[in-house]
Amino acid sequence: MAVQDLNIGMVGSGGDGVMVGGEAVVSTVARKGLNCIMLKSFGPQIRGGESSCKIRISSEKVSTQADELDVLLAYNWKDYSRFGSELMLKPGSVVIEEGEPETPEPERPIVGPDPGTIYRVPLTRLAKEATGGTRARNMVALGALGKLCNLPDQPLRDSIEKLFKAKGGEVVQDNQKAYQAGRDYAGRNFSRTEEIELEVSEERVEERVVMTGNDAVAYGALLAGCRFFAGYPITPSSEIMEWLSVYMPRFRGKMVQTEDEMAALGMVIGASMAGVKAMTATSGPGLSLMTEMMGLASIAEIPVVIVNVQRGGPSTGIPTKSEQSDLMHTVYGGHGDFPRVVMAPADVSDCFDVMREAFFISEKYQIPVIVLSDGFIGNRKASIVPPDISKYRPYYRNRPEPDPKKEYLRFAMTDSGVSPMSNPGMPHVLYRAAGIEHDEKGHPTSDFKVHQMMNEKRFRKLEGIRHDVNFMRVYGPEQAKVGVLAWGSSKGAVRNAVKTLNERGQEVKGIIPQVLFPLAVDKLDGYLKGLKRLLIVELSYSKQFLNVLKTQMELPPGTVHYGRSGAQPLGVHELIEQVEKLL
Amino acid sequence: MKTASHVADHPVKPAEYKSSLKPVWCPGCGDYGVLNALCQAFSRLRLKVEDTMIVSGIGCSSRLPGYLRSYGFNAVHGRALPIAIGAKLANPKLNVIAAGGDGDGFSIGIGHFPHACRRNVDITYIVMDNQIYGLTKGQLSPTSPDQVITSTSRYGSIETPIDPIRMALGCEASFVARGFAGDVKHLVEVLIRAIQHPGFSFVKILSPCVTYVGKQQFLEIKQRLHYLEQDPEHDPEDIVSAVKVLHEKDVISVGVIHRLERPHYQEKLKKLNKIAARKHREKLEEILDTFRP
Repeated sequence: MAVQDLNIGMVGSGGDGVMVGGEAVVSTVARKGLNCIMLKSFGPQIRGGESSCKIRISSEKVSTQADELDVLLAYNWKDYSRFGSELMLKPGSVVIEEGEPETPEPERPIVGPDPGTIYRVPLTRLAKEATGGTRARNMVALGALGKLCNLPDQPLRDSIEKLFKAKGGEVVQDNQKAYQAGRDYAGRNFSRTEEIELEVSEERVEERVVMTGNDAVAYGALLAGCRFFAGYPITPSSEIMEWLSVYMPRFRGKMVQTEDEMAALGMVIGASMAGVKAMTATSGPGLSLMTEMMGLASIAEIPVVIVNVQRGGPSTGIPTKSEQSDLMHTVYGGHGDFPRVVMAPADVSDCFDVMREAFFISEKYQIPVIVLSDGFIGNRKASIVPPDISKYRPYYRNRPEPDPKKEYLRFAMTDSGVSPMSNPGMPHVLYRAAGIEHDEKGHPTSDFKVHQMMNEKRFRKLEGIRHDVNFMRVYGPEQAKVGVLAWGSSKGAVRNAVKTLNERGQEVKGIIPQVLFPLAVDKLDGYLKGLKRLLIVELSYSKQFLNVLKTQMELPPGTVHYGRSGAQPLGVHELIEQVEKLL
Repeated sequence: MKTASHVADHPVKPAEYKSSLKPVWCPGCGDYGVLNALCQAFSRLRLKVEDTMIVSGIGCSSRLPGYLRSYGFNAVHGRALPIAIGAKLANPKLNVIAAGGDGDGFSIGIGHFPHACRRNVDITYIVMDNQIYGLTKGQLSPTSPDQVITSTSRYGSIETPIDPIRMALGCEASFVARGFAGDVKHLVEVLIRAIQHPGFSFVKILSPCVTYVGKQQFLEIKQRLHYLEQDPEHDPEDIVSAVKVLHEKDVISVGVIHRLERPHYQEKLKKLNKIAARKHREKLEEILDTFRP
């Protein structure tokens, strides 16, 4: 019986074309209205190092990789061993490997049980026969894989054509020939394994778009009205700047690659003060450098959006893997008391919503908003339902009326904490912003009463924010007595685990808050009411999420915590194991 | 700045550019001279206050924005340049002036300086150099002379000072000038030229600190002043002339040391944006199509 959920892994060296093969598969399934996510993994070399990708295809929404692969395409086993447990097999997995030269039995460093079937395909020879060269090896492999897994033929050909179109008709043809050769070989030599044949509907398909989390952040920002970006390249966020480098100029926006991260956030602050919605994007090390500027934006009450695509920390850490260990820095980092907002997208689609909300909040409340993405979301390619662009209604800061008779108080005390903000160019409502503590007029002060009043003003904004943005994803039955609380990309594993456990008859609920600071405690309390056990899960060795929760609310008795270092995504079985301890 | 459309339709007196705040600088501080010269320059240029923005870092000199009636930003130490540049790029119609001292600009802030010069964004950067840290009470500065005794070089400085002018020239700055707070009349002319220059204008102003260096510095400098405007051999467009100024020993040349017009950042950006927009006319919503499989 054909399956609706399929997990494919591919591994090889830099020149093998692993990623192109992966892209072709993603594009193909998207054309048939299926969902999928692809995670890429690289060695440290710039060229020629080991590379692998993992693709999960499903008719349902996908936001996490499965723990094990159904099918593995291995161009060589030396590179496989460098990825090991990332490409774990399961009982009955099928392997396609390069058949010539033949790999002797003991040399396969497989992680997991022995595969059910190993197909030795003469990829190199077939490529040579079809095209005269060996470069299209990956297309031969794709053909064999496609036949094996029932990947739809014409969409796969269309994807191949699109991938190679820019290189000219001859290259496209060669690749199509190689693909066909692989497909024919599989047709003649492979036996049918229905458990890995993808179910593909022939009816009208739903539309899909293929994008990474970083794409979604960048496009989401542009849609929200951002027209100034300043940033510094850093793994894994550079793609955001690179995308905006293409599109900002087309919409008369400005994008500057700065000399360092301090300059990046500095330019953003200057641009925002001058009236343009502005943002930057970075990762952990860059955020550390930007921290001083974050405090400046907060006390000077200038709207800014900072995207932090987390990576393994601390310090240089693990640039190519992800973690959830920047949370405390975003919530509490920086000297002095100053308010800011921290929001975390849970998957690629969510990046759109979060960016829209981030600009809305930063403009309305004149406060820094940090969007905490991570490398797993930022770099994964996903086939998703096209985002609803009509929901975008760019919000712009509230400006004062230029009245020559009234003295303009930029930092006037208001009930909401938000005081109208003028733009340079507006007459009569001039002011001087400052990092130094100031009174309502903006004049420097060291008076403690004024300082207290100003802190109250700035922190008062958090109340309004809590009411304006407090979206939380909740899975599972309301009456469940066991709950899981997590954030960000953990959502995928939580959603899957909750589904699986409930299907087994074990009532569990999962909660994923989108705004981590200020936390809508009342709302969260509502979801936690009645829970006998609560499991808090995070990819942070030092329990950052637990601490951030504790400082904002009372956790129910029966709360336990599971946290570990990142660099490996939260696994579904891993999570289920933890939850089962509570049942 | 050729890019700013900010001329008031009636004369504005220099005093009208001053804010209500009384400067906290020590009596006799060079920065008073700079403030006065700026106001006079603004008046001569008839700049509109609402179209003018002064951005500073931290230090005695960085208090300047508070004493001017324009938009201003007294930001964090060493970071006036990126903030000023961000503001100018966001709204090119503004007159943007970045200001600070030698510590703000050439110690912590020095990383931004080469890029400000080479980007050639149309702002004016004035550095009030007093060769000491005044606000924090007398520590060593990157421009402090060799062997000078300060609160953090009690046995004499063993660090060679940096020359901001030399650095500006080395970093492709398109306008480099030096002024003296003790000669306000001359400084006004320098500031006017700097503000009018289409591109990044760097003006280093010798602004003696009467408290930590002593007011005798005013006289010392005055005695060695050499006005480049009156020097027929000085050619501001010739780099060799500028290098000669760097190596002078007995005199201190003031005026425009080097000036080279090259396209400034915004005009290059404007051209780039036009080309990008013309080549690709898709609407914002249509970008979604580029993600279709």
